[in-house]
Amino acid sequence: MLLLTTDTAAEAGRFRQRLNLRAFGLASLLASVLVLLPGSGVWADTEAAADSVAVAPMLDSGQALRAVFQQQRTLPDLARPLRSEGELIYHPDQGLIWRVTAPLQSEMLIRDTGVYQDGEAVGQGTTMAGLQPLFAALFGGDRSALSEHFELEEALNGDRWTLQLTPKTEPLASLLAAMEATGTDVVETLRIKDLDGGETRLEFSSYRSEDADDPDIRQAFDAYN
Amino acid sequence: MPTIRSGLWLWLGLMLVLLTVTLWRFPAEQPLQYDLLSLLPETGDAAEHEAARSLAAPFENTTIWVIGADTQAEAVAAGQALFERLTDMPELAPQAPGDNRAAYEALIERLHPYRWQLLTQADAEAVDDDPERWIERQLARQYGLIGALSGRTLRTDPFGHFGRYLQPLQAGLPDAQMVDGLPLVQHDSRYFVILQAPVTAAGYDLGDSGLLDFWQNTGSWAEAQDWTLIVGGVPFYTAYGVESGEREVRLIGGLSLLAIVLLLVWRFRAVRPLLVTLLVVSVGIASGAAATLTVFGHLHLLTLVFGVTVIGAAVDYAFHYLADSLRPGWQPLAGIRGILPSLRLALLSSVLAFLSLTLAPFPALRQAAVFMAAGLIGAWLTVVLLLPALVRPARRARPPAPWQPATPWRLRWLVPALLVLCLPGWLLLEPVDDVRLLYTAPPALQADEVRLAAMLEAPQGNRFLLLRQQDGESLLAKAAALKPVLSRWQEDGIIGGWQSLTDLVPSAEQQLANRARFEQLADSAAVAQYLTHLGFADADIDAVVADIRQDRGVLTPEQILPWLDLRYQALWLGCGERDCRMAVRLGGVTEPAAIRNWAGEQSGISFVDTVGDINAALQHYRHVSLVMLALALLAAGLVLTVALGWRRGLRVLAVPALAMLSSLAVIGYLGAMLSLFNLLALLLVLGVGIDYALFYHCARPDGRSSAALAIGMAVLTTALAFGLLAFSQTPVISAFGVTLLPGLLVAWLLALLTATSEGETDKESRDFGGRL
Repeated sequence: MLLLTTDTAAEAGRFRQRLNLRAFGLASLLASVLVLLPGSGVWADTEAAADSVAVAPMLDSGQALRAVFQQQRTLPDLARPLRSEGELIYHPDQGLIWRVTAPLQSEMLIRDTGVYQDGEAVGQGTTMAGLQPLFAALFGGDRSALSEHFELEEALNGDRWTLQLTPKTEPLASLLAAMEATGTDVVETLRIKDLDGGETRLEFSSYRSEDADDPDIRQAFDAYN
Repeated sequence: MPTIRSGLWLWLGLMLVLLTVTLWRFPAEQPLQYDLLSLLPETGDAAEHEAARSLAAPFENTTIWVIGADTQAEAVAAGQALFERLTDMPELAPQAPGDNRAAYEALIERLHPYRWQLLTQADAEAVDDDPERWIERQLARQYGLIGALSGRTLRTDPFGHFGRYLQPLQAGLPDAQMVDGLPLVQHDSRYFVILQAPVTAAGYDLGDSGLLDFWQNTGSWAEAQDWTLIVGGVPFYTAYGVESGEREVRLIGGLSLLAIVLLLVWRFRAVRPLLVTLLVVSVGIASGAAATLTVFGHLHLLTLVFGVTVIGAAVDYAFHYLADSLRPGWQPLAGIRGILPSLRLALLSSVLAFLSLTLAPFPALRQAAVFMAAGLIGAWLTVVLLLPALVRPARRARPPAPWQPATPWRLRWLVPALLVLCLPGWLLLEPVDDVRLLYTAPPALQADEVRLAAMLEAPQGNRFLLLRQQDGESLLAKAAALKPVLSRWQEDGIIGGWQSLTDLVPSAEQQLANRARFEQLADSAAVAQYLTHLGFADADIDAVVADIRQDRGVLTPEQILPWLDLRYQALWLGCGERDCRMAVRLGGVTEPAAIRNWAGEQSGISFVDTVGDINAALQHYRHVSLVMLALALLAAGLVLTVALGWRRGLRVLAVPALAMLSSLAVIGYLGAMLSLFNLLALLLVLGVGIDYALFYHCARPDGRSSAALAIGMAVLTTALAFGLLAFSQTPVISAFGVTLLPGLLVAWLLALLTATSEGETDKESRDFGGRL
């Protein structure tokens, strides 16, 4: 339970606002990495241009995005990697749904009013809380903010770009060793490297943008409204 | 009436007694108290008070320093420089960067072996509900986003339950990222480093405050480098309160004395009356302080500030005697005899009014009342016993000019007219019952507080549930049972959040039950299946199962508590002879009444709302004081009518009564707030108003002119002193000034304008002299 022992309703309001930022930060992390990171051109651009990586070239207002992901989590000492797959739905107003479909179904919603795992409010899970600074840094997709939490290293190979993110702030640095995103027009892979040699590899495919009012999209979020 | 010599000896003897008693009772420690809350009445029971103090302690002695810059790197550099500065300040003990995080890591390490006994209530219920489903959900999480981001914790906490158990502890950490061990937050596109510096024992009694100077210097230092400094914390308020209180005492007391000096030298054209007056005033203050110290064992700063007003009343007596001495043919002893009846009656009615204040079970009121009453008695005795020996007939000064209004104003017209004039003012009165009236805060500090609140959570300890049970085990069970209620309140918006030891310190019974849950899962091979599914090697699985089965004994609250953050530790109030107690802190309370009602129906649970209780007490005593004002008026009226007959008695009484009513109306017209403290000030208006009316109305025919001079000088000096009180930055003291200033002026005018003709006065004063 987050402590907020102040006395007015206004402060209770601020408390909710803080959670919003937290959750919205997470949404924007994923949104930035998956969606908002534009093609290689921007990352390879001059500093001046690179400072404004804020808007999604793919997402016009009123549009939502769907993609399919495959996740592979490898841990040292474990006999085999944990593989799962699913889809994500990103809606600029409603948040991000991360839906695992196999081998076991689960769903996470990250939105400005909270984080939900299988319909239950997660609040500040240790992982979520630990990554909050990163999310906040990515809020707005501002690259200069991103560079405050990570050492950034870019590489361009043909039309394929690679962005290496090494956390330099706590508690981020004690949670993960590095992240690496690659892609062309859109982000295609994301690797999260653990501190003790494990890593999680995400591959994204089947991107498609849809009208935000699409019945399917609306239904996906309706359960939370 | 004693002779001059015997009066002198009697006075010296009394002073000797005063000195002896003061020296005997003088406290070894610092006799001056600064804590403003100690002046408030003790409400509730002792256990609640103890709990409130214990909960507030971690917040009361910590200063918060936030420094901001445009870029992150600069903010970190600024934070490091600020930390160095704070370290150089002996009154502060800044927390080394990274302290919180390190303590948290250490806690995790210590609790980790006991993790199979530590489950959140939600997890425990889910396991009981459907163990297989619970295991499956943990597995699904490992495949999901949480798993992707949890890395190595799969090995240390395969079910994730220990992480969930630790959640509330993480929430207690500052919500900031750490850069080079410094907590950093971003706000309004600037970067801020947050440092905490508890005040050390040496600096806690911030009597003369290096803290404020240090704050100011540090502010300029930061500004010079284009950094923003924001501070917060109770010690700043304490230091400021002390400093401004002392400054105001010096200023108001000093200016009041200066006014007296100038007036006396100007009017009496001699130094002796001045020295005499200073002596009377000094004896008045000394007697007040001595009596307060003797009765209460200490003297509060606020009492001293109010006590300064005794100067105003003490000079009444001195001036009355001194002005009388300007009459041609005046003799010391005959002079004192001439004014003694009105002096006696004035003292009697004033002391009676002040002492009636001590009936209120209200430390502030009692201290001030004792100070004032004793001060008046001391001043009065000095005037009556000592002054005849000191004052000589005037040589250079002019005798008072005769002064008499053509016709006294008729009360039968004056009273209704004044009431009509006052009525809209009374209707405009806005009562304020807020403990913040007692606090002084400079605008800069208030602005900082607003900015800090926007940036950080500012937990306080002033609203909580106090739980009491016969032993620690049932106390923890009680706290656990409370959790659904708290969740419901939070959903309903009755509270914004809470802080409880419930999940952090499970009862022995809960711990055993939790371990039994895991043992059962291990017995049913569910644990092994789960771990196999995740790809654990057989040996590792065996190790986990063996770990679950290992009996490590039960964690006691005493074991867990030292590992927790101070704010959590404070919640455990320990066991006394009769019971064990703990607190559940409530935040963002929107409906205290609902919680109070609910707690009232429970056994062993009470709702403590420190600020609310104090505010309620202020309101209560405001109502009580209104009644007491009426009673004091009645008492004074009785004394006056017995002494003067009902006609003249009421005429005298009308002066302070109308002055008080006008004063209230002026407060209303000014839009100033009406608090308990305005009403306390009205009691002074009553006392001084009686003085003025008695001195003038009951003067002998040949004494009217000197009486007019005496009260004129008294009102000038007193109004100057009290007028200055109105400019005090402490709302309470300012309320005193705002109330007294109009009250005194109206009392003075009415005293002069409503006195009846000389012939009647002559007859009446003979009567009254005979009767007393």
